[in-house]
Amino acid sequence: MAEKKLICVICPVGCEIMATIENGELKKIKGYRCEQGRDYAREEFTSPSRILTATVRIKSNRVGQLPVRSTEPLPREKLEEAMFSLARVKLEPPIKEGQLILKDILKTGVDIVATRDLEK
Amino acid sequence: MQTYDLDVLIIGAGPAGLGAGIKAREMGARRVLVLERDFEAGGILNQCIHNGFGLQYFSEELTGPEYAGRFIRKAARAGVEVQTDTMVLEVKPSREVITSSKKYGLQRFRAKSVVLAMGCRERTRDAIQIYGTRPAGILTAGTAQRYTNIEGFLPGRQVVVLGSGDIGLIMARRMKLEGCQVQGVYELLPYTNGLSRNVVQCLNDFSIPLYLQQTIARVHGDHRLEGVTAVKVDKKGKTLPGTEEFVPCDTLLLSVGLIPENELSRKAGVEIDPRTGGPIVNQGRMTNIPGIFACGNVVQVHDLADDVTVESEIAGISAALFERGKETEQKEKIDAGKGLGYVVPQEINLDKQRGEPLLLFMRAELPRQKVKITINQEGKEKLAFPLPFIKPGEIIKITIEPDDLRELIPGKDIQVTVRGEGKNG
Repeated sequence: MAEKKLICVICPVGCEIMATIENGELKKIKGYRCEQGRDYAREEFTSPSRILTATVRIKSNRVGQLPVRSTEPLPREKLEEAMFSLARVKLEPPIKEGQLILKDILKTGVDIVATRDLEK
Repeated sequence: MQTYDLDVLIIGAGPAGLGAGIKAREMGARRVLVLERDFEAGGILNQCIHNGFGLQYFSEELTGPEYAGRFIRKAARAGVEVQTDTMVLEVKPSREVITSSKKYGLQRFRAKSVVLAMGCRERTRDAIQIYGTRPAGILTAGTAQRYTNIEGFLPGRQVVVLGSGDIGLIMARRMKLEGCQVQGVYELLPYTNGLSRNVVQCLNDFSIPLYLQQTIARVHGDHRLEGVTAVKVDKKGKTLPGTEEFVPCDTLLLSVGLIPENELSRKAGVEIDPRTGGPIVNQGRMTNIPGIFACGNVVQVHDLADDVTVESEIAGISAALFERGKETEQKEKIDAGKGLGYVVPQEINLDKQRGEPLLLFMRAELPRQKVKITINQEGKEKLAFPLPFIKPGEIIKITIEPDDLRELIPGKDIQVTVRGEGKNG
């Protein structure tokens, strides 16, 4: 039986959540203050994932980069690999917030979308 | 020079200015104009491409540009005018504002209310006096963030971050994701000033070391930065001789604190609280000058854009409803007592707040556990609020409900104090 501790990152409160893990299985978690925190802790103890935010190149006379995000969290260990896929993207305005930039990144089923409007 | 008459004039189109503008229109102000010196509205949110915004205000997780986008679109729908590429040169106590812009030339605005929403600026190398040469490669974390996220220039390849505030932590991760080698984050204090979530997601996730009670004593390099001397410090922040270590790097990012940007406010005669670095305001966010209001990071350096929005809405409502001739009413002072760095608002009119909840923002001086925040008058405890823990890096918000507010005696000043257990005795 092992005790594991983490700080919840769902919101800025930063609850300390404790887990009891037995034979690789999550037995008990405590210390969370909301359902989202409980779900996050469950996942964080078993398969941690993160929303990826980054920028991609865009040809515009106002800015050089367009901010983007993953629509869903990506496995934590794939974040750096995903950056190489984004490095190959080059766009031109106009862009709309939420516009699809890269579909199914690293075959994760997760898309990359723009996070701002950018006019020509 | 052309002169324009307005109901509410707002300086700065970041989250504070846009939030105040939208509320002012909703409260019936007819002509509301926001002035912005950048080429677009959104303020610093445009370069804060990371997520974590909006969890409290929208109950969903947004990136900075998405959070800004919501307010930019909402402002347009609400009929708030935004004029970009415009620098405010002067705010007069008579609520006359002089601006300069390439497109519009010199302009004069006369407003019934003015809202100061200029935000804050980063402290620089000069503010913390690091010894050594003056090579390229030393910049504030926010400047590096703008270069990287908006302009598209990577400031370097091998990075050291000084200061563990949120921008420093976020930029450590950002540099790492862009392929830089991040040598570590150095923090003078025994604890970080960033949000816990940022320590976890920005440093722990990428195995970036955090060196507590260590600082940068010297920088090296003639044309380009070649490295820094890191050194350990004692409890008082004094460097410990013999602990120096050379850390090679071509870039030093400074995340060593933010200062409310109040040059215009000072020149207008707005009274500044030395503890916040921002204007002394009442519960409606009016300054000592009638009709001049302030909100957001110009008042106090917030941790969350969501809190800036909450504060800006207070100011927007007050600015829209401001009537002259009412400013001589009695006011009670709210003082930050033992254990607290500051309390905002610094003044209140208790009679005017009847029936409305009162939101107090405050910042702890030290981390404490099992905390009790007390509201006192004449040396007696009037109200108490227990909290599991407080940290200097995380703003404390206390809401006094209308029923509890009745406990406070009008005409008597208020002291807020904090008691709790320290982590190391």
